[in-house]
Amino acid sequence: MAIDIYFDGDCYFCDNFVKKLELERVYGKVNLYSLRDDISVKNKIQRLGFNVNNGFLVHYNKNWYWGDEAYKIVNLNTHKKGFKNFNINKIISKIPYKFLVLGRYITLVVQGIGLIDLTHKDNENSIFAKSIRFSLLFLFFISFFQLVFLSNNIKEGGFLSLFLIYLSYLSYSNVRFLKKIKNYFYSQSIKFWLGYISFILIILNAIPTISLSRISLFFLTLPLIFYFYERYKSEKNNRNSKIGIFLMCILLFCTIPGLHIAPFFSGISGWYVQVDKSKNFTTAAYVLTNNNYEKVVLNHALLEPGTQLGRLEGAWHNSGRSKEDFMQFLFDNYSRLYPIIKTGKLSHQRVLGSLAYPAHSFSDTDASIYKNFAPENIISITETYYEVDWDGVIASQKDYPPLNLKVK
Amino acid sequence: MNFTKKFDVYDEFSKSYNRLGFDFNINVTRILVCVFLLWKLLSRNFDFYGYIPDDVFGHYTVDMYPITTYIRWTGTQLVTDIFTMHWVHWFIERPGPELMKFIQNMSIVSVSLLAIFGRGPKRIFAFLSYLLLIYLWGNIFLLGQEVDSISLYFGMLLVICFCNYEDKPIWRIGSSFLAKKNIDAGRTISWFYLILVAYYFASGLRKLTDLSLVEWFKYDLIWEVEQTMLTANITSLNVPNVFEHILFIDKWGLFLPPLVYLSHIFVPLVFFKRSKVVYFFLFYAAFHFMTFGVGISFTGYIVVWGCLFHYREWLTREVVK
Repeated sequence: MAIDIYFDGDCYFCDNFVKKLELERVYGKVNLYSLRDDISVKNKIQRLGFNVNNGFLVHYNKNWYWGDEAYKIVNLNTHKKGFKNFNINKIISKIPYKFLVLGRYITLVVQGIGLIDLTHKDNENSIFAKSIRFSLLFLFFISFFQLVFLSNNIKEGGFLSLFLIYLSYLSYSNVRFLKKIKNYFYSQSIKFWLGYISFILIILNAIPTISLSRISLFFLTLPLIFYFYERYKSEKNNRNSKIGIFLMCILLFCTIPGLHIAPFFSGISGWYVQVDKSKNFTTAAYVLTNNNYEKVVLNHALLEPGTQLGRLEGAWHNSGRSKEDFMQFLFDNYSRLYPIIKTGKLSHQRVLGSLAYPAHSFSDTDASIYKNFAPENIISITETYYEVDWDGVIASQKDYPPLNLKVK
Repeated sequence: MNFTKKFDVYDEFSKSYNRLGFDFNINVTRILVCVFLLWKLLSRNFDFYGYIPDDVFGHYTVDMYPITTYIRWTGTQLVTDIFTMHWVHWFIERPGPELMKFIQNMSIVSVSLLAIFGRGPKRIFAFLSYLLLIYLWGNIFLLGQEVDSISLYFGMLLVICFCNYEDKPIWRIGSSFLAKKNIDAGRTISWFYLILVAYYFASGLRKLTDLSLVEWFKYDLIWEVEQTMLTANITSLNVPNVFEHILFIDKWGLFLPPLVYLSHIFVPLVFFKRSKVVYFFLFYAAFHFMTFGVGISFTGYIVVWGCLFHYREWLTREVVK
């Protein structure tokens, strides 16, 4: 006598469980039918009216068994025949069936596979379809994280999370919904692009934390990346079309958050500066003082090749060295370069003069201001903080404790 | 507007990527890239890094930005050391000033050879140039400066290293002028475009993730220029005098940054419509010049779009699509 088992063949958990039951020992012949692929099987089961997502089906002895009933049939018999002493199925067999159904749902979510829909031939479980499900699911997680840990606006954040979990639910449970999205991508119409870009803008604007927003963009573009991948797979025999893989790679490069592979990185950050003209502003510079108590600002261009303001000092600080140590280095560097400086050039102008490539933080190039500042005449270096009004007048200034210098 | 009209990016990309191109243009780009690199090399003294204590190296990108603004999975020591060739210092000591000077001189020779003779046997001049240059600039990156108007040129140098085209020494460049269009040259030119497009487009996407649309209009650009000019009077920063003449724009300056952000987002269009490269050149030249107003020199990028000009087509008055 044979037993027919109708189960979810795409579910990793179900598939492995059913195949490991070793039912041949009891029933002789076991026919396994996946409810995913064969439309004739789907039609047959649909007519019976069972909810195949909440339980698998067994056809045995001309009777149909569903869910926990089917589970008993399979389970009892495996016990009777005596499993090996230690077997994962023996452990699973002791778990109530409802928990196994829950396990299946979790497995499907993790796999990005939707529920079984007997009315559709294709249950939309291609890698592109999975990417849509993952995308919506992860966007929900991100919005929920933002809501719980970082949000000030509970209403807006709550609405977004609910909206995304609903979309995510639809993507897993409703094949028609997923088909619509898929067709929308395949249409590549102007309507699609406008809609897709609008959706991206809405989500990004609702997630204010920059890191989370960058991760969100990645998940928002994930379906597009996999759409291109599917196009690549379907057209890779066409020599001219297969290079579409590069399109996918470039989109990945632009959207993967935190990508920084020197000298390449995925985009200069966005920021804005708000200036309050009703208040004075502050700035700072390293200043040399000579033995006549004249002062001159030390040009940051002398730190070339890397001349972005503050970065070398940041590295110095990061290594655990003191500010005094950095100031001593600045002076030693100045002393070393003074033979060039006294010729009227800054060090980066040594070869090309005034045609030299400028410093990254654009600098003065007048080296003549250092005429009275030969290293042996310099007595100290300090960092001076200036408070400046909007007429350019220094309202106040304060020195970091000066470092008395030793010429090496 | 017909909203159902198809704009199939995949197809358009394939068509545009596979268009035919002239080897002459690539040879010109090679020379322009080399000239720029030589300009930069002759304006810098890398022996500076021979004087920096060893323990100061290692201010990686992951150390600079807070977790709320940066995802810490690349920009780490391992990745940065590998890609800048500084992994050699896992085994050997950092070079002193003399050796750094020697490496810089080697780079100058190698880039000069690349400009004059082309890529050389087994593309040795191109690869050697890249390796030496990335090692030199790696010093900058390891000390906390990840931007130096150099990424695009490194990108184009990689294209020269890896893509196929008919390479000609400088004295035989005339013969490539007469050569016919071909698919290999076309694809190489496409990669030059993609390097620029990816750089600016990624920056455009960061403006979408890092700023809300309201914040796009919050950048007090002109006031920041004014502040930088006043700062420049006291410190060693510099702002060209010409910026005094734009201060009248005042609050209207709020609309300038969004224009740049939009251009970043729409920059992929130039890949599909290459005849428009001149407009992008003009726009980005103006934009990068504007950054001088806030004390940042992106000199290298002012002219970078010029590397993509259709020199061969223009000289023969051929129409570019």
